[in-house]
Amino acid sequence: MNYLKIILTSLFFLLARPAAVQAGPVTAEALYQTLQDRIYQIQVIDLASNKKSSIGSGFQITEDGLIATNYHVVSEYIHAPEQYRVEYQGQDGRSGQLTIQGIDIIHDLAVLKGALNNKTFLPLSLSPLSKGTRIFAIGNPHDLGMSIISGIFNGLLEKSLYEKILFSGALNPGMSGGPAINEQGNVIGINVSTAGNDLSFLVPVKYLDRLVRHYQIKKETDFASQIEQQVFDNQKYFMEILLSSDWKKTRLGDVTVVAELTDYFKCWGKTDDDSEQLYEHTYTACASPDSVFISQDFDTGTVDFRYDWFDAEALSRFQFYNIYSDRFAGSFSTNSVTRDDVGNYQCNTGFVKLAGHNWKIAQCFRKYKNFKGLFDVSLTMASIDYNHKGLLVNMNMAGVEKKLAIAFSRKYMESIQWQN
Amino acid sequence: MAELIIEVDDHAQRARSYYSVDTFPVHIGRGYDNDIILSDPHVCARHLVINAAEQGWVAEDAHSKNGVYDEEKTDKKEVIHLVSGDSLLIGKTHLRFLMPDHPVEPARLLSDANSIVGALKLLSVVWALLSILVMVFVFDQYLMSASKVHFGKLVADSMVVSASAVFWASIWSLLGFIVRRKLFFQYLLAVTVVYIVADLLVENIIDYVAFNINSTWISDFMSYVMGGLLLVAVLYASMKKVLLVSNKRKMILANVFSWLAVAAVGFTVYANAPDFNHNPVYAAELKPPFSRIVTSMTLDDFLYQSESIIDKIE
Repeated sequence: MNYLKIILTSLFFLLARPAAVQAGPVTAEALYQTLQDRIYQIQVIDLASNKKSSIGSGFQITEDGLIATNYHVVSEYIHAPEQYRVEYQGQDGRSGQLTIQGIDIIHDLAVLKGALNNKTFLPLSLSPLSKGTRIFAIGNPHDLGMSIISGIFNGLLEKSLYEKILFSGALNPGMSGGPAINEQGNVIGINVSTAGNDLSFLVPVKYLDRLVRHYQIKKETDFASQIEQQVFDNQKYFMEILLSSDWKKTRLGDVTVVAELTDYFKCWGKTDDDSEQLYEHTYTACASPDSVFISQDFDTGTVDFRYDWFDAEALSRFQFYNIYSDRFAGSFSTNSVTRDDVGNYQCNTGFVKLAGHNWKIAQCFRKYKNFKGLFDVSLTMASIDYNHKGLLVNMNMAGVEKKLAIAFSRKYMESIQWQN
Repeated sequence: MAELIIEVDDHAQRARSYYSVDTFPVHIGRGYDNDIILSDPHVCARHLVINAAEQGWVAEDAHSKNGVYDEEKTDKKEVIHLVSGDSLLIGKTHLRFLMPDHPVEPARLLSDANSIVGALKLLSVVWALLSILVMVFVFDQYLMSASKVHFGKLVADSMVVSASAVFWASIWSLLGFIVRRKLFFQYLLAVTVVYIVADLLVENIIDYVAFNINSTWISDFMSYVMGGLLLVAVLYASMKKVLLVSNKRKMILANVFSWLAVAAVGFTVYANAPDFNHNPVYAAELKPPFSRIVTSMTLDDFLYQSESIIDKIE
């Protein structure tokens, strides 16, 4: 009898793998009923208070108890394993401790393992979906209880360096790391972030597949150096794309500047409309959309820049240079960091002649304390040849190595040109 | 007939008394064997001896502890030649030496028009000084503005500065009245106005230097040094009229106060500076093109410098 039961169950799962639910219109209810035993809440627990410090969702991806979630769900534990532990919490009350097996910081993925007492798992589906397909996301929003939501697969984000799926559905905090599944119950992505109003993002499942295969070949234990390596490789990859691409130019006032460095960059612009103000001011700001999450208050891997054009015929040169000077002083760094992550900026300031025009330039660097050879770079420039007009430039690069920082700065500064 | 009239102005008693003298030498001191006996505790038993001279008199310090001062110069002197109307200071007592025929001011009327004229004169000087201050301040503010200027607002802002100047001068004036029974208000206000205008000027000059040198610490250092020097100057100029100590001592006092103040400000800034700054700090002063005297470097040279900064922090 017992044997039969086992065989029957195995048979059921063999059949269930390609299609967990029978053909016909799939309901969220049926999917949830079938799959709920494979979905867990992931908790990072503070050892001192024995209370949850952060929560997310995760799902079982192998028979032997491998769970997938987001790196950001468990990042606290990875940075301070002596302060926290990670636990899973099943729907049926099962719970237990988890260990980290592998991480992909760039795509925000982590693979954990524990004694789950459960053999069922969610298969990964690498076959492409077409835009408009109905998909489901499962997770535990705000610790309110495991939920399933339905939404639409809207393809890959067009302006993103790292592929992300645009999911038209309402992900909420706490659902991070939960699976997004197709109607057959196969994982097509991992819940990762939201921009509000049914605008959510998923990590394509192929990165999870890659991470799992890497884990099966090589077991990692030193996650600090793994993060360091991934961040380093990523900046190299990113900066080399930027250095080799043909930068799109735009005109601001009397100067030609670069705007979208690649298709990934997004730019905005605005002109002041204060009638009391005796000068014209227009700005253009551009940024790479992707940042690399390292911890709650430390992110890197971004490039952004901003131009401020001033035209002040109505002001005396002294008046103009007073406000111009104030603006020049106000450049700020754009990535979030703490004193534990980076040192103070050290600046190189001087007058530089670029394409026949004089600029005052301050280029500042601060080193990463835990990532050898990486720096944040802040470049601030002011044109100083004219009495009543000028362009301010402020460019920030987060987490780049010396060679690429200098090469990028050179290309960037050379691309800014006065047109008269 | 008396040869000499000595007016004794006892600072502590706030009373004047007059002595007629016809034989020389005249001994002045706290001892009871003197011709003129003073009660000032800063005066020695035998402090001063007056002798007749061909013209006027000669005062000689009788090796006193606190010395004899020429009141105008406030410098210690061993021997001083006196003519009618001159004053000396021994201890805290003022002495004035007069010929019996020394002219005196005509008697004032019970209601005096001159006192009104005097008050008006003082008022016009104060008014002129404050006007200069307001004009300079308003001009400075105007140069900094980049939106439509509301002139009334600028003047109103400058009133705060004027009030501070009057307050500062008044405090010194009060000190002058306590120490020397004179207000010196016009002089002290003038000193204050000159100080504020000079400070504005110096700050502007430092900005132009800062634009050219591209170093935050050198321009900060210059601000501290110039600020300190100006403070020494204003304190010395104020003390010169108000205090009854030697010029050397005034210079020492002015320096001690000024540099202590500068050090206190510097230390406060240093102690409150965050040890981690999220944003870069660089020499950010910009001035119109005419003021740049440093030539620009090439991009290669600039990036070479940048690389060496990276190497240094790495």
